[in-house]
Amino acid sequence: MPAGRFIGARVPRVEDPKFVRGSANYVGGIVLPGMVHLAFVRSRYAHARIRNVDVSKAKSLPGVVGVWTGQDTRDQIEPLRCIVNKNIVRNYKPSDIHVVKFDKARYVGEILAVVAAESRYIAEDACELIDVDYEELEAVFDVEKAMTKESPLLHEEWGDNIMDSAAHEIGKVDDAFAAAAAVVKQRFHTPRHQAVPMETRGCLASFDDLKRLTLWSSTQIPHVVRTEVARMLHYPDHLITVNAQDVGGGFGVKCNVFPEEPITSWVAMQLGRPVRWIEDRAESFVASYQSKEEVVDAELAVDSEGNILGVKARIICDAGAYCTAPFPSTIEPYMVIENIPGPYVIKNYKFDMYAVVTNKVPSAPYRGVGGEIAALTIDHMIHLAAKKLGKDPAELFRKNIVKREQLPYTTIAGMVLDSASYSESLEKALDIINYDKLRNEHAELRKKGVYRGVGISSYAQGTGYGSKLMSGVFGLDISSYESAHIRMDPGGHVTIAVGTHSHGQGHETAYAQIVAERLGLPFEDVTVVTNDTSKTPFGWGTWGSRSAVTAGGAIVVGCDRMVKKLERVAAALMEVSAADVEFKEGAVVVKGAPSKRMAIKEIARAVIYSRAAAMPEGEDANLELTATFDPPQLSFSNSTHVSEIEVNRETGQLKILQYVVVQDCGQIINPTLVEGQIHGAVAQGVGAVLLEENAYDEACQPRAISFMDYLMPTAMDVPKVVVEHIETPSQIMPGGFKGMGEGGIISGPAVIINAVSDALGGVAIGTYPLTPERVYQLASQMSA
Amino acid sequence: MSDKHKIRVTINGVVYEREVEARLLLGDFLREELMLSSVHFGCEHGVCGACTILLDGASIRSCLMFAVQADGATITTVESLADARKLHPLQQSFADNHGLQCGFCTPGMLMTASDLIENFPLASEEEIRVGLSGNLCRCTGYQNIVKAVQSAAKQMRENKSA
Repeated sequence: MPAGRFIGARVPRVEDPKFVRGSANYVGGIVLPGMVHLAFVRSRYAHARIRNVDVSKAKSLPGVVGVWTGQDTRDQIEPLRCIVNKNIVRNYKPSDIHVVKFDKARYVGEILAVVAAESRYIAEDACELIDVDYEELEAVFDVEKAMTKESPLLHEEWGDNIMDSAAHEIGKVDDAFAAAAAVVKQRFHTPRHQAVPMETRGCLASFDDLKRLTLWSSTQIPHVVRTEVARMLHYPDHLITVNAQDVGGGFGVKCNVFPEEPITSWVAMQLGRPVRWIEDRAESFVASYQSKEEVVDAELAVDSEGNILGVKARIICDAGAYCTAPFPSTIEPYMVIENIPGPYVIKNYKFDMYAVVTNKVPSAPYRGVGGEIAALTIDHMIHLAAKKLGKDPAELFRKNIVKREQLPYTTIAGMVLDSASYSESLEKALDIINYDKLRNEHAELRKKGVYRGVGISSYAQGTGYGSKLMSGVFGLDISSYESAHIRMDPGGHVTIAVGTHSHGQGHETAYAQIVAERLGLPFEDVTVVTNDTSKTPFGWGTWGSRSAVTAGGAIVVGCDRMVKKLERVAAALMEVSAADVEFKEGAVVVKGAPSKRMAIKEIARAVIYSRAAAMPEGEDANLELTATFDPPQLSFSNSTHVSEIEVNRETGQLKILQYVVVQDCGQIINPTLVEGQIHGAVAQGVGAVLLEENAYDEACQPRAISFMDYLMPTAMDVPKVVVEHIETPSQIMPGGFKGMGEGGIISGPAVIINAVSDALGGVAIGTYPLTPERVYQLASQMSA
Repeated sequence: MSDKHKIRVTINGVVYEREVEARLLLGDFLREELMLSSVHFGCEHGVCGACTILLDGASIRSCLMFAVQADGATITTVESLADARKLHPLQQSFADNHGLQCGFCTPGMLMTASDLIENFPLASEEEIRVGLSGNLCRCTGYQNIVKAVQSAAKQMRENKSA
């Protein structure tokens, strides 16, 4: 769809006034009469049998309304369960999560008791009066040790600690390596991270008239939560509403059903009073899911010209204690496998993958799932291969990246790269940063003892995961279409309701832009409803960069159908044949007689209000429809990141001097929103590679339980990002949109690590965060 | 056994007299007792700045103060910036420059920004970044927030001198 009045325009966000006024309704600000507050007793040990939970003292504390243990809930609340098709994912082993533990705790943070009280303060007082009798067991900390026969088991019935595994070879990898002029062998051990939205999780359940359950929740997937809570509490879906009206960020951590949601709901149903739980930040470090800790052993073979001959990779994902639901912990390593070949021409690939359980918080998808670790693996190895051959890394990236004339290109991992701008983006990024000039500058500066380097990273991001992929390839019991309900009122205004979830993305604005464009309406005549299951068609929420492409697609399909109906009914109202009219700029016009026309406002008034009697046979007197779009295949966004960094060899400090992103996400709806997503994702990438880590000790005790330990990027740490757009519209998705929300983080670690390596003479870097101490050690590996 | 203490605070121009427990955080007093839902807690450790308000003219973290310590103080929160019809130039600038996405850090950012604009020269982008470094944002990457503050500072100072 070509750029028009609204598509491609920097329309200011309509949702902003409530946020800047401070009147947004995050769940922590919702107060209901009679509301009580929940607090949880959480396991202090990473691996322990729960012998007894004594709640007697807590129950008698003034202000306490109820106390429950796992013995109370085990027959009342079904466990969280990720359903995987064993015919497709043959090696998967299930691990149910009982929301309140009664037998064994498998990570520090598991819920052992629930307290409801008149205030959170009293609830926490009561938690301190609860005595848990633990029998401590040996903790499983290291994934490689966890895979041995001697290791203690988390889930005894498994017989081992391997949640899932897969292996495959495409092409002839050993032959490729035998013919290589250079081979890079590199181990990466990536740190454990959390999404850390500024709003922690939380929910408020109300059981009105002891019949309807309303759950306000800080979630990215309201409809999915509704269906799961219905299942877990044996309560019918139609009597449950999940309202996630204002959510303060998600990034994936709110994209799973969490134990606290069914628990809060169940307590509300027991008490007949509203019940609210707000996660505090310290709690979030042991209760919110974590991500991205992997051990990757990879190898890259290149010929003397720098062409990639083959890739080998063994990926061991530290999945934490359980498989999360409905999006499993295994999505991350599977996507690493898929994405390692990246946007490069590679003909031989061999991988094996293991998702291994340890006594840490479960691992779940977080922005840039699989892409981040994959880009690091392939792009750092290409960078190191260049150094081995005495060539410039840019030369190897240029040589191996997929060229336009090769598209559509099916990667060795089976991903069909459709229309994109891989080599164009790479060239543009190198041009913007003045790559050749920097190379010369850096060489001169090195002589003066100033160490600067440039890093390059590119990726292909598959977006628009459809139901066929989710169930057919990932073997999950979920689908991934999206629906848009479009309704016109007699005044000719349009309300659309969509099942995605806006938690910062600006959907109220972006979706209205599509409708206004497609229906030729003023922007103010369109209103968007999302986030509340009682007001929207069933949808899958927002994750995986899916909204613009999947919901946007449904909106385009729906608008096109609405246009056809407008033509048919207007033709009937004007007493001409439908073949004689066309929709043009917000009106239905008789072809060749432009003065004979009906504007949308007139048609709406007539159809819905005054002239329903004139509707032709088979035409309902409404302008209301629901369109569903299920992407038939992925459409790939692409991007190249280039960054210039200065390293202080003596203090280990890093300074990001420049950061350039060239982004192609197909037809852009609102460039300001796209740039905002890139800025934010780059900031998370910077945080990931320089600052953040959910560190654990060998007893699997978390070392990061506040922002004093888990360091977050501030305004002083994040560079100014130069963003340049290329638009290669998708030929697959209606509207030509592709997803991009996650993209900016994918190249973060890769580009910064390549730049630091470059500054330090090509040293190999296999782990981060790049603390000053680590950088100092790396710098000392350089020959003086 | 909880002892309650009488406090008297002026918040957004309105005087409140309440009895509070000694351990009640100022932020909780504002959000839970007085239902000023713009005050957000992001960490309760004084790091993230989401709970930033103005107390006797200075921007402070309401999670690091007890309500009893605010006895006699004059407090402003973001609710005091706009009237029913119009946004304050600072709020408008955040909206115009896409200086927010999920909005959770925004009230704290706005209060810090208003302190910065009032009391610091803000002669460079670096100075603004240093000034904002006590407010975490996970969505925007700060770039547009810096732009919003620069633009608001310019406008507010022009308005003042006009």
